[in-house]
Amino acid sequence: MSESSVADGAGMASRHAVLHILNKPPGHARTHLCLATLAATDALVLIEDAVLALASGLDTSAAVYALGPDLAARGLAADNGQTGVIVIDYEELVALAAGADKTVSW
Amino acid sequence: MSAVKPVSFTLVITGAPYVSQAPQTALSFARAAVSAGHAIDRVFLYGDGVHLASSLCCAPSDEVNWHREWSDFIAQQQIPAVACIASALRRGLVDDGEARRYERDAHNVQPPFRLLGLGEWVESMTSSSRVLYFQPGGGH
Repeated sequence: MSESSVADGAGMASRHAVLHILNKPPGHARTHLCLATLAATDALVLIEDAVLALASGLDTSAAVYALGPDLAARGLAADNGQTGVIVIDYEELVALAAGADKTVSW
Repeated sequence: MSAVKPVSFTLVITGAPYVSQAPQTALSFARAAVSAGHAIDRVFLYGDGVHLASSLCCAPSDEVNWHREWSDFIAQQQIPAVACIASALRRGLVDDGEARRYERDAHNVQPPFRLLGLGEWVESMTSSSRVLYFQPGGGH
């Protein structure tokens, strides 16, 4: 988990090789595939039911972002004890997507 | 965020409203993108995502009508919104022309949504700088 990341729209653009956007819950086949595919230079954005992964734990060396409104909708705290996860809003998600060379929606 | 260059997005929605969060997530993304100065080239509905185009959707009054929210947004922003005709016809989504062609007594797709073939999709793949998919969730 990256510790040096900052939740700054401009700063987080273009640092990542591939932006992976995951909306599947933990345990879903796509979730396993996504996590297996992640490289340390990639970034993972958890949206919709994928934010539940913060409750069950996540083991990756890639940068991890989680969409704040989806966390709130599921009653999860900002980082839910998981260190290094950066909570973002839609504006920051747009900045990540605009700055990414490659985006994969799982 | 001003350091990010303006880009153009094509949004592909493949998850149906009320079954998946896809139309809701895509709309929040689209509003944020437009506010940040980015362009939305077009919105493409494919698979179960075509249900978003139904003007006959009657959401309960205390729930969001995603068809109306999207219609208002794309009309305001003048964003082309296209439902894949092959996906639409087999799910009972027809416009005026298709209703006449197939001799149906009603139609539920009207502007600002349109029915078009995959050619439009190919066009967006070549002209848009970013294509983002908003898909069904995976259940629990």
